[in-house]
Amino acid sequence: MSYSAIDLPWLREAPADFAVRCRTAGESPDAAGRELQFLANFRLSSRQAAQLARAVRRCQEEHGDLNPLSPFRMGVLSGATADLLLDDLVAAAARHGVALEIVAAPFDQVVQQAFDPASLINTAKLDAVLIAVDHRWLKLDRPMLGEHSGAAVAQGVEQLKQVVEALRKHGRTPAILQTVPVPSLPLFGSFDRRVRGSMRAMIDEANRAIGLLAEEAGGFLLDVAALAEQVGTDGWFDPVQWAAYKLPFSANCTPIYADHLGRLLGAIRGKTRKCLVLDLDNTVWGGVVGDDGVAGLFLSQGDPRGEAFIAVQRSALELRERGIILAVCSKNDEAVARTPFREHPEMLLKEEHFAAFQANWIDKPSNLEAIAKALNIGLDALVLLDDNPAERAQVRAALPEVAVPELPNDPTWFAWYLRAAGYFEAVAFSAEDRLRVASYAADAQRSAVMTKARDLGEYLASLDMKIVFAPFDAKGRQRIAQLINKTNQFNLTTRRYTEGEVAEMEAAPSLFTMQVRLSDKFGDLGMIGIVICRSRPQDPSTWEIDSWLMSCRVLGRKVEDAMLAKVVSEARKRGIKRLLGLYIPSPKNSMVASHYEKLGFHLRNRDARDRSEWELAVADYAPPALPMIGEDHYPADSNGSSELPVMESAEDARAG
Amino acid sequence: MTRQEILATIRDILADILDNESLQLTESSTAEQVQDWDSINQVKLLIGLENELNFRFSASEVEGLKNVGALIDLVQRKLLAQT
Repeated sequence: MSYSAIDLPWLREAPADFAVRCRTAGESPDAAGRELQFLANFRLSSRQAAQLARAVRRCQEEHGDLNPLSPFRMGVLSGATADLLLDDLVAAAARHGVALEIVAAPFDQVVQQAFDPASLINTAKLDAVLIAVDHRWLKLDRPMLGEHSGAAVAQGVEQLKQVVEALRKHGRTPAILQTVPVPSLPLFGSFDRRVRGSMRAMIDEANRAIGLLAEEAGGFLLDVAALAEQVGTDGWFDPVQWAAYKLPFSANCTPIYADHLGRLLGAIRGKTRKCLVLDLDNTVWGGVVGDDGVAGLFLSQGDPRGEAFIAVQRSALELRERGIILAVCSKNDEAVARTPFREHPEMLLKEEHFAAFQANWIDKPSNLEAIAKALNIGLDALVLLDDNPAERAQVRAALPEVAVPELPNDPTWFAWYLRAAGYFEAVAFSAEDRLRVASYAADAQRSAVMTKARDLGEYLASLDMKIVFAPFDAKGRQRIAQLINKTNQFNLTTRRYTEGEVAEMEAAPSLFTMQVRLSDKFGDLGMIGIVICRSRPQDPSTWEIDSWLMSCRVLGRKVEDAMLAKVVSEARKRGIKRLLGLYIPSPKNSMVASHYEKLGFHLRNRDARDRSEWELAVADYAPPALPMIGEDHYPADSNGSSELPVMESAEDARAG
Repeated sequence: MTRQEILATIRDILADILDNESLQLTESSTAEQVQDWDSINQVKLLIGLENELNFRFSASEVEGLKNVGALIDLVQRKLLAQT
């Protein structure tokens, strides 16, 4: 992962068929706008931006209306070569909900175009004109150590002002002004800041005046100086590309510049996102509250792991202060998920900061739909911050309108990714904005909106999951013991065993043991499940399931179905006729109360303390279709074949 | 890289820029002979070559290239200087 805005690392790599999809976009006119916006939501090379820009132009010509993209006609006046930016601007605008049409004036014709009422720009009926000029056009490209530096700044800004006024007068067009980055050409060094006529001092002064001018003239401001500062001015300016091609800044910076302008156009058209939806475990705090408990979470200042999550919380709160609604969407028991907000002393976020709190075991797309509905905003107003790549992929596939930034493995960068991606660009800020969040009745007791799970078949098949079964062994011993002692939620009996006891199980003839690993196209999830079965001394053809536990990370992926299919097939090999499952309630494992029922077991009895016993006849069991391929490390049966046929391949599942 | 390979690389990048998959290019081709090969697309080509082959042209090198053959000469020199 990259930690530089120049790479737009919050976006995904474009798919292999990107060029083809650009060519075919718009074949069905109603879907054109959505398709283009989908394609724009990748990290694009200049070549891909050109392909997408062609598709946008073609669709504009053929269909006109590209709903849900809002049309925007923008003129471009530049003191340098702007032609290389245009494709990237069109692509980035589509990313931010805008179907951009550009009318570009010839090279270095800023004044001529503005003052001539019959010019291209003044007659093009534009929504805005971008005035892309820098220190060179403003004649602030060399130090002025005499007393004229103030006059030079005033003169440069005055010329810009006249251009802005002329555009208003002749074309009735508001301007998009740019601030000016300071080239890193130190004259005195640190002392430059204190010398009135240094380039740094003059440009700083000019930038303040340009900000005021944008406000007075009813225009907009693109803070290029801030962007160049973020990127680093040594990487922003490219002396060769300026000398040879008159590029105002390095071609490497074109995608991020275009994205920033796209955000601004999106904000002008009201496309700014309104609501930040937060995952909880390993996003808002470090650890899994259901397994680690409130005391086991990483959430302290001074602890490097905790600082990361404090930063995410602070970022969310700062956004809320400026009017962004906050919501929770987490796979958790609701009561468990709320505990840290109530009990952890270092939580900055409190329940009352959230306008919606969805913590349940239903898929996230269904929950996000419920949040949008409850808040009466569109799905295109949501941003989801989630550390889990599989959840992100599921949401993107089901709800492409929701913005879902990529995140690196290191949570210390989460806050930067969220803020650098620019989902909440604004062109105004009022007192009402701040009050709005309060109007979303931030009721800490508000119960979650009821949601219904959706069919996940296709999504699961697309994960390319591979599940690996093996008996307990020395290699897995440590992790097996860790899972047995740490897993609280998906744990049917919550029986704990030491590493020594686990080692003894490896060779015990009366036991059937199983460790389960899962990987998918996003990576290896490692060991995620354990089963221990015991033969009954009084009834050797029955297995009692002593322990069955699973990591909550793999919920909703049919892993438990695959595990049962494997247990049954091994039981058959060993002449076992019957499985007995036990559920022992604990304060944390209510989510598996109906585990055996869902898998087709029959209830045998339930005692006063709600312990229940369940039975499955091996002969009656038929394995379901599974969205994964299996691999097995058990000894081959008498035929010498290591059987796998219970597993359907992911391919078959998709076809089915 | 052989001259043939460099020519093929130039052709592919330019074909993409001009959106002309069937573009034909020889060492003696000049910008005037190829439709839409204007100064802007020339800049895109040069930057595309830099990114593809991982070197940077100097400002003086990119001036006065009279045909594709001259560009191939330059690219060969740049690649040689890298090794």
